Amino acid sequence: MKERLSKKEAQKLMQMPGNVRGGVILANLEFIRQKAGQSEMGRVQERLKEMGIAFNLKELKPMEFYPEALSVLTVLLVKEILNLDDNGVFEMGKAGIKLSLFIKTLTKYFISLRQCFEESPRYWQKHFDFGELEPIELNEERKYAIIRIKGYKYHPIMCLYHRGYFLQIAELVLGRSGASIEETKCVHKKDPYHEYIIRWK
Amino acid sequence: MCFFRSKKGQTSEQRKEILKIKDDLNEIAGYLNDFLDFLPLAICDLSPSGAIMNINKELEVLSGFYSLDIVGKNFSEIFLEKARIQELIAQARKKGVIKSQEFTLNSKSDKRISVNVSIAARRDKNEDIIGYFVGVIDISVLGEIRSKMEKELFVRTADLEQSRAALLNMLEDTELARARAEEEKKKTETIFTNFVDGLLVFDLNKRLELINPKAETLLSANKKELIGKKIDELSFVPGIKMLNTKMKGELKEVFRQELVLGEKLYLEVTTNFILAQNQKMAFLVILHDITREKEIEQIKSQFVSVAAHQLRTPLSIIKWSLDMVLKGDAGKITNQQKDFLSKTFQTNERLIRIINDLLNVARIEEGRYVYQPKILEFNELVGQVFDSLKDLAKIKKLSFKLNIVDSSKPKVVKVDIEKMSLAMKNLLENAINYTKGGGKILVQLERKDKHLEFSVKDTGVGIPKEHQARIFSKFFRSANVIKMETDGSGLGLFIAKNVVEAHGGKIWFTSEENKGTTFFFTLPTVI
Repeated sequence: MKERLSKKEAQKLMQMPGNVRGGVILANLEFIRQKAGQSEMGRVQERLKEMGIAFNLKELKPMEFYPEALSVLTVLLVKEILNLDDNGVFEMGKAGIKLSLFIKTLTKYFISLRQCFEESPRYWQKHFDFGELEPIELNEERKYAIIRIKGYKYHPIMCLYHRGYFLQIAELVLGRSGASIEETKCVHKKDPYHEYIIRWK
Repeated sequence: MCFFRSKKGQTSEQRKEILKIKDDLNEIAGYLNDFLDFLPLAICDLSPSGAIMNINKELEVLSGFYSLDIVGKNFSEIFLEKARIQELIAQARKKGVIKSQEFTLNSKSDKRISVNVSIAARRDKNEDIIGYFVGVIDISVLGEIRSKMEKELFVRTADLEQSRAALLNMLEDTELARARAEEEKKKTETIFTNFVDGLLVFDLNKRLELINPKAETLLSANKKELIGKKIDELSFVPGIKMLNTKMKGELKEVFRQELVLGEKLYLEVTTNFILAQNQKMAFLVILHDITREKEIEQIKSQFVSVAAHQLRTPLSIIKWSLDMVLKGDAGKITNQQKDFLSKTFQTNERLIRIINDLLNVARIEEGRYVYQPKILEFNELVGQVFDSLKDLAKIKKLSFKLNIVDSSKPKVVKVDIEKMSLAMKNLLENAINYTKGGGKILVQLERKDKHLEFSVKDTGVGIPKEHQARIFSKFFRSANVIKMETDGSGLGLFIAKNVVEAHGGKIWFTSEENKGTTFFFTLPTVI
């Protein structure tokens, strides 16, 4: 059965603090455009309006900061419109990297796993004005890395979304697909932070 | 709705500056997006590890992949030559830029597209690789053209191979043919060199091309001095000069003409054009040495001459004696004795005629048949000969007539009276002897332009066709006349022919068996 986001839920989200670069939201919109076409992308705008959020998506600018809640809402609405399952959301997280122009400017962080791992807090800071990304462990020999996201608690769907998002970054750095990611800790499960372990071959 | 939230500690000026920079960045981002969308060249950029970071619209169109499909994948994954793409990236890492390398792009719809890939490494200020720019140019049209050309080339090559094989076969055949021709040539050369007759080959420009050793010997000439020269330039060789005279300076066919070189060498020369597909290719001269035959013939003639001379004297004595006995000078003889002796006398006469003919032939062959020409009105000589045979014709009850056509016209010739009389007599006697009683003989003389034409027409037995070619040969007598048991040595026509030709005339005949024969001869006139 198709889940439909309620106005109340949307309004509640919009009350949450924290901003993100417009490029991330634009990537979500590009995802639905590429998956379902321009008309479906227009439906996101309509649904926002239905929920009392008077924001013109066409005015989004990649470098500008916008509420992270708006980004989360676009993820939820795209999932709703495209009737995505968990895997679909995961793919949308990956598309957040694939379709973001801004991310392309950050390739200098992708020179090596080590550099990317170490620079990841700065990367977070360039995209978000809240929370933090903490690199915990990089074991190149055993081929895994552990990162933590602190201060981020919007909606459980974003755990899936971020799994795709971080995995895509890892794959860009590795230069190949086939890596995997697992959320080992989650604030929605009463853990103090999100923790992800990324493995590759 | 404004979502911008200022950070603590920022002054108003700083915030304004940051906003301005953001606006600039957004405009740059928009400009870059528009530019990439417009750019008609398929491009993308790669992460340092070779993962696709971004593709433009043109590459989406070319490959059929959206960014969503391929961003994050290794660049090599969209090509058939994956290992080579990895090598290309490695080369770009070393050299910076690699241009126009040919690859096959494997599109989303699994279409193989020939492309040229150029790649440039991007480096930061520390010279560390931070990614790659890649340009992809569709050269499938060129590829198709090349593919067509390759197919065409393949077909042409196949054709050429076939042609080559055919040529080789032809060459092989040609080589075989050449070997055969060489063998034939060797055989021909061997035959030519060892041929018992002398052979000379002239080209159609009268230049001597070949001469065999036998011809060198017969002509007492050296091949080296003759080859390549025209027949006119070979007059220093007596034999060739004589031949050229016989041919009147032209390449002319002659048949069994005699050339007498010196006292002891007789050559019989025959010439002929060598034809190939009815085209004259060369001129062949065959020199057949007949010296030996001539010698034998001379010996024979001498024998006949001596024998005839030896026989003529006793025969003359017999004739004289018989004549005396028949006339009664030796006393009276009975009728029976007279009859026997008359027959003996006639037989003796016949023998004397034969002996005379043999002597004439021997003289002709020995070249001793000396002519003593005199200028005379030929009418008279013809009349004398005609008159001498009137009685004989009368005995046989033949119509025997002489017709001098247009007797007012001069018919003056220069002839040996004795020999010419003999020739005419032989012709007339033949006509009388071989025409049955009641038959007709017409002797006619006519002036024709610069010669006289003499003819003897009879209604006799005629000459069978199969014997006509040999009628002027020595001792030849046609079968039908032998059956008639008439007198005849078979030498009369031989003598007549030689006499006429010795006077510069020609002799011939027309004949039909059982209907009659007409002999003709001509003589050149003096006036």
